[in-house]
Amino acid sequence: MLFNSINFLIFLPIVFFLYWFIVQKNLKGQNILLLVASYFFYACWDWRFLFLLIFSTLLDYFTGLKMSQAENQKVKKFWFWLSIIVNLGFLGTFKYYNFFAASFATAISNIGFHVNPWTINVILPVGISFYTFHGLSYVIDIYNDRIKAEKNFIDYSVFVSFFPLLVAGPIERATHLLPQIQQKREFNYSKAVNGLRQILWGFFKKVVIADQCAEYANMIFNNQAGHSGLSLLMGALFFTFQIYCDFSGYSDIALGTAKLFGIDLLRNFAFPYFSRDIAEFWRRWHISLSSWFRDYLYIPLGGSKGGTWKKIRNTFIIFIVSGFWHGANWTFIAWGTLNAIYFLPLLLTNNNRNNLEIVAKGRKLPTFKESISMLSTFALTVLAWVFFRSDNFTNALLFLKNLLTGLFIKKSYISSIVFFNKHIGFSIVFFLLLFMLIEWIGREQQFAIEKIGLKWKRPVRLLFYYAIILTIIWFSGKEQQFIYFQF
Amino acid sequence: MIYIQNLQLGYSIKKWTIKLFFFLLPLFIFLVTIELILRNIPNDYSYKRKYLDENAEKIEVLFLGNSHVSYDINPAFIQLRSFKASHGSQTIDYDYMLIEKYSTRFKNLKYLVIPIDYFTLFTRFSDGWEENRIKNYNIYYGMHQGFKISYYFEILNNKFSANISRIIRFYTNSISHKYCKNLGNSFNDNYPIQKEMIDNGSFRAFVQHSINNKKFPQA
Repeated sequence: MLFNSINFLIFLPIVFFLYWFIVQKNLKGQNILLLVASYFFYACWDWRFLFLLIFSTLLDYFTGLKMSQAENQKVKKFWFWLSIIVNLGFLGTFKYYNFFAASFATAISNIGFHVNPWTINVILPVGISFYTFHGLSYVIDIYNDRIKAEKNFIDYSVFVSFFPLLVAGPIERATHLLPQIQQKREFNYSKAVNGLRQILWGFFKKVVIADQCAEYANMIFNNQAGHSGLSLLMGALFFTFQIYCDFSGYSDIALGTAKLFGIDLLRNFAFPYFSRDIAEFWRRWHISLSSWFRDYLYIPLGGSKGGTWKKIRNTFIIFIVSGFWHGANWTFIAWGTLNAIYFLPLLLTNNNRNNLEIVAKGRKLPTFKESISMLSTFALTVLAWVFFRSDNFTNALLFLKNLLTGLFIKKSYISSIVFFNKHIGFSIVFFLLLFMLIEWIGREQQFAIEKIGLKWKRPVRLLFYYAIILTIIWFSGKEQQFIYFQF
Repeated sequence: MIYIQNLQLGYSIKKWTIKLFFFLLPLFIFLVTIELILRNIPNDYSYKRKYLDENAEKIEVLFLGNSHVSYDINPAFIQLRSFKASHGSQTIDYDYMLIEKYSTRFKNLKYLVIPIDYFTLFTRFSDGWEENRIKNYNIYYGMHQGFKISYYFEILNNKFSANISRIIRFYTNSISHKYCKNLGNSFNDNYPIQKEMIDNGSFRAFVQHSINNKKFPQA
């Protein structure tokens, strides 16, 4: 079930009603309801993979218990590795097996041997990367004695499967979410209003910005040979906004929905395109994943401690693994590597923690230096997104080559202008500028419209919300998939 | 004390729900109005349904199937009373449902013409890009197959901006969605479109009628 589907608009009020009007006095009832609703939500996509989700939940639940009951470190280690191997085994089989088989066949064909790789024809279970990482964080935390194993299976299952975060995060931690599940939730008027506002902004990002940008980005990326340098630049820019609004829009809807049930999820985005360097960008982009890799991979590897080579090694490992997490394709590995290359100079010169606060905090406008820093960071991310979007590595390189060389052919500007007028138009430019303006105004909040309009008179505020809703309706149509569902 | 807390909780959630209800009510009314206006625009489905309802007993030759049938044969040249209940991309299961719906009323039916294409036996609307046509049979023919909310509403099968354009075109320029002639045959005298069909039609037909053709998004 997609958030931006009519089914969800019916599902959500029903669950909300049952949750607050029928089982509101009973914590166990609330959790059972959330679990049933979450499994239903997941089964709407493909009920067969529900068994995989339940198996994964059972595995981590039991290995967690076994680890906490283990009498010695050897037994504990056994259950720990069993969970890790099985979890990563499933992820590897569904997500990476075909990639490795095909890459192996290509590699040995280069030395003269030809094999037909045995591939498996299976669709990727939606959300597998997310719920596997939920489970892994739980098991690793128990192994490291950070938390105790959860004895209540329902509570643990809700932690893994809570429907707003089930298919595309945020990737939660047991230390953050489990205590909320175990606590009695009471309806909080202002939190629910805040949640609705966040859902509204999420829908605006997805339907008005991401889906429109997707149309133009696809038009250009799917036929890159037919476009001039300026058009390719437009395509890269459209994808840059598409990926941000698609994923952060999803996260906003997830966080807002969770608030309606009295639960706070981890923040996933914090206005990343206003970052002044790549280190700041990665503190603001897909925060729950970045912090997951930081805590469970980067720090165990030694983090930024140790010698220069160790720092370089760890940086490359974390970025490449992060890229590979997104999908089994060399383009994602290239995207991760490129980000590591961007990040490394900052780390080696100890400048990776210069910009911890949001840009121009307490001011209306950035300084000239801040503007240049933001623009250059943005340009670097646009460049990296080309790898992320391209079908394969060769196409990505060709895209960048044609983009960079094409920008110096002035004659091609005319064809780009004709293309823009014929297929794109100023409507999307207007909405992009409006969107960035609202994001800039609300950049010190959790999400852009969190505080906008709160001091306005009620009719004006209502008009503002109606305007957003009508714009969403205007651009709505057939349901569009979220990009991160495929990861 | 617990009772008072629950009372406050109840008041809070009720107040919130009522406020949200009244906030959303105008939007709901607006959307329902648009849906009704859209359904009021004449189209091939509503026309053919009405024709069959009124004339099923008189029809001697009934043509079913997809656009190939709609465009190829002109029923006016057939001496027996003929009608085309064919629609763009209509699949064989819908042909069957149409026959079933009017089976008791086809008193004079002598010939039933059903086309067989290479895709006829395995293509269904729900398999591919033509899924949005299912709503036409639900709304205008009252024939139900599969359950999906979008199968029952005009408004959910198109971009809202496109729906508004349809309304404006009809109420200002009387441009409806009825493209067929009185006996149900479609016509197209637009040369550029015909030329385009010759150039690209076969590939597009392959994409449109191939099972799971959502897998070919770039086509």
